[in-house]
Amino acid sequence: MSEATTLGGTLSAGAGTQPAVLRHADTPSTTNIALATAGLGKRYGRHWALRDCTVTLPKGRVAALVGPNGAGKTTLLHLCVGLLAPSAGSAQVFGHAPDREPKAVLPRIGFVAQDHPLYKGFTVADMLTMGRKLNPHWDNTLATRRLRQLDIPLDRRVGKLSGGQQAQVALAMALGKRPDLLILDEPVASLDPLARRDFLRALSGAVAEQDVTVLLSSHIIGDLERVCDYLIILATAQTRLTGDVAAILREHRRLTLTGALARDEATLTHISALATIVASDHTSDGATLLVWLNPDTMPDAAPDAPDGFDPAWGAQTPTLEEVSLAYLERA
Amino acid sequence: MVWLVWRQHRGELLVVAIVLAILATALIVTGVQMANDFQQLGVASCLAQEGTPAANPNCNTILAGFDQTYGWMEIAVSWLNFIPPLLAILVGAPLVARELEQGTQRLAWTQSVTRFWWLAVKLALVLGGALLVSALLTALLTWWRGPFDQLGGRLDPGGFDFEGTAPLSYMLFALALAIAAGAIIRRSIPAMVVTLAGYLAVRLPIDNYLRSNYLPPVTVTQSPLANTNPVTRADWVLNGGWVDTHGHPISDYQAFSTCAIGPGSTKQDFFHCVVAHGWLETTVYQPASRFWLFQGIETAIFVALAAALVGLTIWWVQRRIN
Repeated sequence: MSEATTLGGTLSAGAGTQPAVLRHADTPSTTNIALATAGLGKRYGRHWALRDCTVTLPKGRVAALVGPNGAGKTTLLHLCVGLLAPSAGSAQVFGHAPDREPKAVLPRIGFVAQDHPLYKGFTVADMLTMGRKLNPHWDNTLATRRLRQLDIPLDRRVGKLSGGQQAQVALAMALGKRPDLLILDEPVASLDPLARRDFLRALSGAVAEQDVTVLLSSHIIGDLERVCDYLIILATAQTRLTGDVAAILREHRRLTLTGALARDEATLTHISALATIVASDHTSDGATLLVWLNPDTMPDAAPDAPDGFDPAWGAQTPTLEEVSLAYLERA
Repeated sequence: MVWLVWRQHRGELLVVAIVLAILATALIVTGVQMANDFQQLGVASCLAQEGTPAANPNCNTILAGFDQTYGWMEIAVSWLNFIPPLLAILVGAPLVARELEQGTQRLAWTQSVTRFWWLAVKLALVLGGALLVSALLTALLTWWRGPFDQLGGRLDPGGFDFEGTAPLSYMLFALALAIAAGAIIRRSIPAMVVTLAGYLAVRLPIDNYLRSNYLPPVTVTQSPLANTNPVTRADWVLNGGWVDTHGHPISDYQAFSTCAIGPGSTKQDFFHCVVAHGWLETTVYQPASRFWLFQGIETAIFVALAAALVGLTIWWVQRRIN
């Protein structure tokens, strides 16, 4: 069974362009959806920070929101937690608009903003007290246990903690709410590799423990592959690709053409007939193509099943990073 | 939420408590001494017997002596007019602005309380606390000013600014202005500047021009030789001068150059000369009985301004911080 895959914008094939494809192989009911946006946009004066963003995030997924700086990731996340109001379209978290129905949405979400803001003058214990006072479903045992496991002293001022420790405190604050949807804006961007690994490990552990949907934005794709099972690619304020990671990897191939094959028109036409070329990279001694196999015309496409590809093309399953970069590079 | 407000502002609370304690000590110590001297030096009895045949002929000296010792204190106390804007700058300007400057609103507004509730509790506690501080200071200053109120009344700015209900309304206005400035400008320091400038821009014209005209002043015209004083000590004299029989004003220069001739002429000679020219003495004043009416008017003005600013802040934080 193939999962939903959305391609925003047009893809150029060898001959002519194909229209945008929007399919839902299985349309989830509203009760299964944590987050749904429809044509969501945010404008500042004349400039659209986010435009025509349509995303559906099913419950239980750990989703990666990927895109370069300035793509609108933070804008999208802020729209989802009610920090911004939409200029166009709508966002629904568990069926409610975050900016207009904060009482219905806020208790169910946990949010860690970029640079994990905390009150620097507070002690860690003060932060937990704040969590307890401001949130009805606060689980103090959970938050304290997480911090103790990481050897973060409760009586230390937040401002005196390292960046990695502050990120962990912010995560503990968000998880202590026992949220149904956890949203993290570039949580590891300012952390050193060790802290980054610790954070993602802590996050995975928490996800395994609690029944929580996660939406995690990052411009570093490599880390996310281990943690995430759903992908949303955002570039120049529009969504380029969303879908289940497993399905995405199943539906894309990396083709490595060597030498003369790379310049052969017949080869390229043959490839275009079988799949849509998403990106191509030509070097002096060959070319690398990233192609998308339409699951409707290739219903049983799997890495080891026959897909009509010539073995000379060197088809392989790409990494998530290769797929993301390919879509991000498209103009 | 109450805990959060206290925790965030407990440093400021400490500063305010310390300053208040210092002020209170200074006022109590000087006030007690002043009240004692007021009785023991005979000032009180002078005022009680003023205008009566039992009046002490030394009263002028006694009053002058008291003024020399304590007059400067009344002027010094007028600097307390800066307490509301200073408190507003300390607590009000950073209230919303600091959250926005440091980006912590992304933490505070994504807990489970709505933006409105967050702001409402902060406003209620901060404004309520400031009101309490103002009430304490006003009570203390009203007591302290006892002698001066008897000597000069409470309507003139030295008294009016510190007694009654008006000082509480100044405090509310200053804080509301600071909080609104912080929310709109989003930076603490510029908001502080705007607060001070705005506070002075409103209070100075009202203090100096508007207040004396809340009701049309009373004008009394009489002969300078008349037996009764046209005004009492407690009335607020705005203006005085000379007029001729048709009501046209005579300048002081004209009066003195015509009638104060040479050394040896006494005040009585001067008055007789004035009367001989058919001139009268006119006094423009606000009667002391209008104190509470004027207090009510001024309080209403500043409370209305404060309410409008609070409304603006709430609307701005909810709709415009986006």
